[in-house]
Amino acid sequence: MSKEGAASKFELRISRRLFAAGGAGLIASLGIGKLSAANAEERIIAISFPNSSTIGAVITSLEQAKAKGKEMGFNVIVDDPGTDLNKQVNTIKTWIEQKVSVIVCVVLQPKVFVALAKQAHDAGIKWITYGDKIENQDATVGYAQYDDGYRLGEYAGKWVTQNLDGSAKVAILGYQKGSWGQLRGNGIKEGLKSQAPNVEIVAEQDAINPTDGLNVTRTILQAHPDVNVILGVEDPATEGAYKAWIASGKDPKDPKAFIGGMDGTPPALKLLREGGTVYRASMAIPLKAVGDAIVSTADNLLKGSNTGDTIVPLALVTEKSPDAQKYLDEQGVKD
Amino acid sequence: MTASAAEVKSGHAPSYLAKLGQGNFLVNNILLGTLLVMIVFFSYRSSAFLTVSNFTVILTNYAAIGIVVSAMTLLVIAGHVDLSVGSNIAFSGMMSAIAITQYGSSPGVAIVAGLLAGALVGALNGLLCGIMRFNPIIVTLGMLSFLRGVTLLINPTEVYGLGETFFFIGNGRFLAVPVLLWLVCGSFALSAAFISSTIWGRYIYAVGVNPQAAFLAALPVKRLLFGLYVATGMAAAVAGVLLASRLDGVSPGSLGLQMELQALTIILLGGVAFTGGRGRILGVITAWVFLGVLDNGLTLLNVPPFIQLVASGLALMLAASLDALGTYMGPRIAQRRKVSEQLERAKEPGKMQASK
Repeated sequence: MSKEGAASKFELRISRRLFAAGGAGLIASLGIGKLSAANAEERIIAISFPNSSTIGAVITSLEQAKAKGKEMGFNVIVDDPGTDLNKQVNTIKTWIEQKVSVIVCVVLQPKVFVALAKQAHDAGIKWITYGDKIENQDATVGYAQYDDGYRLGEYAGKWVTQNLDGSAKVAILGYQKGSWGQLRGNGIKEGLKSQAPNVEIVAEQDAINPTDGLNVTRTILQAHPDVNVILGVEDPATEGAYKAWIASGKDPKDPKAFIGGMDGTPPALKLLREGGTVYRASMAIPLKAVGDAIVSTADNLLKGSNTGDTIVPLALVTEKSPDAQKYLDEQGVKD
Repeated sequence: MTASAAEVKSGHAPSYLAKLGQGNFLVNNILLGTLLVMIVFFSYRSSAFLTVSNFTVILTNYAAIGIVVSAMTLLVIAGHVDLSVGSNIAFSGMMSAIAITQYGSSPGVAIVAGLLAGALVGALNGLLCGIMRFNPIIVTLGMLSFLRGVTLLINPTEVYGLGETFFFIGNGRFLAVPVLLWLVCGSFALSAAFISSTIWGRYIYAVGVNPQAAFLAALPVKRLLFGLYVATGMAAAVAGVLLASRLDGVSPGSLGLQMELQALTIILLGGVAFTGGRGRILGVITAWVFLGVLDNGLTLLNVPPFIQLVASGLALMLAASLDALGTYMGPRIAQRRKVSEQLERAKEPGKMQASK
């Protein structure tokens, strides 16, 4: 090997080592900073919320929880383990060791968390389950998933009866992989059938984000071009369905079609505020109320009062309803 | 006389039809055979399946991932991988979206901003993995997480309302063909031409087979890898812009989520070796269509989501097994043919001498 070659290889090794050492130093300094913060004497509400960083509505709720917590003297921390159950359990065990004041947890598989809730209890930590109920918990904060889905289905059923003589071809965009999705989906179907028993549900597929909603609906419209009602358990998916409706060459103002979803995301609320499109309803989450409920329930538990369950009902927002603007304002959406 | 013998004698490559007549063509194209069987099955079960409009839906639904795959295939053949493409799609899409909605840029400027963002990410990956020789899996997995976080930090909620130009890109047609189809077909054609018709294409295989030997042979290994990472980053950015155009917005948490796994599945199913040095663009295109058809067919038949997971898993395993079987049997069939030809020639010494 030439001297120049050896020298350049040496420089490369040095630069790689410097890079690695610099990176390690940066990570270590960040870690030490975080550790010292955790050691401070403070009341911590730790929220474990899978996929919270990917759902706009949840981000708004949790930001409100942080703001409300700050007002009431809490440090609200949020962890998003994605769909990794093991990571979620590991983080919660760390919080138990850390002796946070309250753990708020979304439990995708409820039974897994029963033992963890007991460990938290034994360590003197209060446990709040979000949107579900498990053994050893202190309280539940969340929604009545089935009931909220039922109300959307019921509204769609009434619309079908009034505008389509009670018969329609329906596609459901659900989420079978999560118990909340099953509850919402079942609620929608039963609410719909309660008001319009003659509707035909021709397709039921999973979709909870705009891309899936668009792709799945385009395919459904190929198989069933006469589908005229699309209901979803998540507004992002039905927003995708609305795009698919337009992309398929259908009239976005078709008076004989209905699209409705849940959660009240800004694009859905804007369509409802303007009105006159096939997007006719959304079950909007009072996002700030949910954020406030997390902190106030935690505070009550720490004060020793038995709060029971705090259920925040979703609000049915329909075309041209003033509530659309109200919930847009709540999410800080500006035109 | 067999096609191979004719080929030896004439010195020409066998024609496509002659190849078709050989057993090893089928063995090497089992995935294509499985795809055809699947198309026949879905056509039989759903009258909506075998129509031009449905195939347009299939290809436009899969256009964004197709563009990513067309560039990433070259990187994988070179023995590297970029697992950050899913988050890069969201990052680049977000850059374009906020350029329009927050800074009031023109659509052209917004698209360029997105493409530059994606290329920059690719350049960073290329610097770390191609030039500094860090482990590509670790670096790009880190980048996957980093970019998703950065995208959410830039804007944690949905950005929407991108205007007419973006709507045209996502949903419009040019010469009666969807713009998305033009782009994905162009992208695959560019990759195929690059790898098969340029000297740099041959370098890709050489680097994939043995990077040390390629380096010692004075091939521009680092420049090549850097370029491939930039191209993959740029392709992810194009995919981000296309998805944003289709949806008229960007959802920072979900746009492009897990598309890196989808891309890798298509590439590996298409017969590209994960260790590099082997692969064809045609095989990857077949795998791309295969997954699109499977997804579309199961939805058309309204197969429940849980059964859909089982069915698509089984179909993928079956296709991958058959493809692996083809890869195993192909060289052996060719070897046997060669041996039988040599034996045949040995039995006829007079003909051998005459041919000399």
